[in-house]
Amino acid sequence: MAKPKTKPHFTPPTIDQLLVQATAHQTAHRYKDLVEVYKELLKREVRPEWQIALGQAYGQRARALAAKGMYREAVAMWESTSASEATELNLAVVVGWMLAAGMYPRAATLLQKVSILPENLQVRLGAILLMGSNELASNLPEDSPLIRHLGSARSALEAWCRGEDAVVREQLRAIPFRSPYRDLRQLLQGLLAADPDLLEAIPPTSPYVGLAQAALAAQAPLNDLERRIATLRPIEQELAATLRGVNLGQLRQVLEVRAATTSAKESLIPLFRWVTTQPAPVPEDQARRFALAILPHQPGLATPFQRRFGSLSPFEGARLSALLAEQEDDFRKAQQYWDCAFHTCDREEPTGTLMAALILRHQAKMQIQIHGPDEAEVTEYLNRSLKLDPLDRVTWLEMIKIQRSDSNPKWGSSAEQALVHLPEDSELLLLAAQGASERKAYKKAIGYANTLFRLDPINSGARRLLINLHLGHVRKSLKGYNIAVAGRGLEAARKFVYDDADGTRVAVHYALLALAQEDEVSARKFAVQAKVGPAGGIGVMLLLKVEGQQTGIKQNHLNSLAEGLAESTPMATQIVALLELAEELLLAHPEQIVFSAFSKSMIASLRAAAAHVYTEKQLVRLLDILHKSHQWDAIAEYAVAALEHFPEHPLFVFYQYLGYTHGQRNRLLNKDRTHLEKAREIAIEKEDIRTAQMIDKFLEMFPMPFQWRFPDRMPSGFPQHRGREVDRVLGEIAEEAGSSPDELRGMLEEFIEAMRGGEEKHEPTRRRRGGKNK
Amino acid sequence: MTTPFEILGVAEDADDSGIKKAYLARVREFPPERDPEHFQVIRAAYETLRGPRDRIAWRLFTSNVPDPAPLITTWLASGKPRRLDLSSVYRSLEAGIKELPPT
Repeated sequence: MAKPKTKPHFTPPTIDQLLVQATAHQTAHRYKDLVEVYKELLKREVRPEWQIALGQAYGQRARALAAKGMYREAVAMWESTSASEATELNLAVVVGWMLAAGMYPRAATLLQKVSILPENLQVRLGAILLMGSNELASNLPEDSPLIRHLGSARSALEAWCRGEDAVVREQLRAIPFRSPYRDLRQLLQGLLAADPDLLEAIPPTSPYVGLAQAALAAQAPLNDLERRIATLRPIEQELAATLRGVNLGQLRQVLEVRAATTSAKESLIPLFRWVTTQPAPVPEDQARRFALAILPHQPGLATPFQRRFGSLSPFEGARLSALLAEQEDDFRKAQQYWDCAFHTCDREEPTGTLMAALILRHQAKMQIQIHGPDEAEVTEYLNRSLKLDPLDRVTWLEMIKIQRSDSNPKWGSSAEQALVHLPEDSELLLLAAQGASERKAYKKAIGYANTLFRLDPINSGARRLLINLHLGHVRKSLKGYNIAVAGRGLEAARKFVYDDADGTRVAVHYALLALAQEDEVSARKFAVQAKVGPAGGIGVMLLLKVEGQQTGIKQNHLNSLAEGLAESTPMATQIVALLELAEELLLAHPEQIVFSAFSKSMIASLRAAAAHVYTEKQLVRLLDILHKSHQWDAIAEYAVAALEHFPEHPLFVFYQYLGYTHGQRNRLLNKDRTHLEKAREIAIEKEDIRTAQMIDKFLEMFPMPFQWRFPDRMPSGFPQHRGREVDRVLGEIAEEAGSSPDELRGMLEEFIEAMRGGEEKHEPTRRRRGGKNK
Repeated sequence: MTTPFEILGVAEDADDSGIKKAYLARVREFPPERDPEHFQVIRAAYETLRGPRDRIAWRLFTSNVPDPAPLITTWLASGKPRRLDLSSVYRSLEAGIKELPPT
């Protein structure tokens, strides 16, 4: 048999142990256990301090329950304490618990013992009284504000619900500012005035705050509505929807659709469904337009669209298909659909023709995307578009720009055609004048320029254009030896002279006229007069040589008139003006004519001015001109000067070596090449593509298969072969001599070194300006 | 997804003068020196709708999905605001009293 189990012996804790437990429970906020410990202690011995401690433990336990929202339990705990123990708790706090627990009759009884109620509790009591709690009302003194203002507050609220705003205002006047119904007063005033500030001012501890938030949500704009609705309790969400006059279910659906709509195509489907299923409130045409805009992104919705709004017209169908094809980057397909849209476009409608023209214009743009700026196709579309809509100046300008960039001589006549429809358009007038001038139709060009100047008399560009056109006509007349016409042209040009620069050009042409008449004295007099211009004598020289070439006057006559006009040391401002003049001349004359006009004496004058400090832009301009005129020494000189001010500037480094080598890559040293390659890298870093390309072009001008280099200057009679030619020659000699090409190459190098003898080593950085060390 | 019409705050059938007037009003509201980014948006919208040709082109070739907000706003605005009934007010008050801290 099993041994019978013995019951464990239980030894109750001693008083000291219980007191230790009490301390531990108190520290750990275990008030339930604390109550039990003190109950146990009081069973052992009734001590007054333990009775007080038990009362305190009950109070703490009740507060802990209330903090968890267990008000009913908290009240029960409070009630289980004796009267003396209850002093621990403020009665007003217990009233608050009772109200929160909905224990209004008991709260009313307790209220009689409370002398002063906190304000927020009064507001809460007011709200409960408003809801019709008779128990509370009967326990409150009749002269208390809670009872005195109750009637007005209730009447005001009921009147607002009925929509009787005048009654509401009248009743609210009877509720003072400090009344327990002040929050209701503010709420109703905010609702009547639709004033969000009044509603926002209701404190969050007020029972009216939910109503205020519902009213605010109802007034919120759409972008804030979703956020506001989300923060409301279900009851207030319903109230907000009611105040807004919509159904809460529909409102939630709308907000969900809006929240789900992103740029993703899938998100458009619920949006489309919402739009197409909405009853009357959404206007039919607005809903249709909206749903139509979704179709290019969701072509599968075409069927439900047509079920809801009727079938799509052939034009709309083609347009939507074209847009869809464009989105898929299928431009050929898009082009076909646009063709279809163009043909189905209703021209009877007031905007139909314009739409057709715009489609053609759109097709021109797309044509550029497919084939690049294929001039013929693109201008064909633009021309067709302009036939339908000839007042579209943007398209005229676009077409002229394309024709001009494609060197199509029709661009001028296009500008003239455009002027038929837009006769006073400044830009078109300017283009027409330029086009006619290019064709040497000066009279026509002058006509356009005159119109432009009449429309805009302070347009300095138009004035200068007129001078240039008149002078162009003068040169043409001189070439035909039509002296009288040339004279009249000069008189006409003189009327538009405004500054010294204009005066110089006219005086130069007077000099040319005199030269044509073989009156050299007058020609010189006019040439000297012309020196007043900003570029001085050096500018007059350039003008005489460039403009004179078009007059048929003999070159030697021009040269003799021009020589001696240049200043020995021109001023920096004159050099700058000369560069500007050269650029201006380059716009009207072939490069060859302008650059060949830079004579030796002019270059000498330019070099004399090298000491002047120029801006980067001016130096670039000057070097470009010298480059195009093949003035190698001057290029090197200016490049070195420029590098003093702009060290490592890639373009100036390039020009330095271009000048040193006289434009011949085979004269470059290995270290020159390294320096140029570094300059190229800097140019790429600075996104100076032009310089990088210039360096590239220069370095690859002559492919060099050898690591060794040719000497800077070959001995007399020794041809400057290219690398491949040297290879070929060495191969042939090697065969005849019975040696290898490498051996011969070594011998040749030794020979070249010997020929150069003690010649100064090629050190570009130590060279003097212009490479004169060679 | 906001259309240029919405940016300028004009109806889709607005004419040149209406669009210009709206543009000037918006520029006064967001002058370039004070709010350059917003001004750029307004300017771009104006350029898009400036002439009848621009407006037709926008309607023909723009495939942006329009913002549903105006449609939803129209729908919301179509609702007739109503007053609450007393019982709803009391239910809100009761819920409020229960949820508020007791003191």
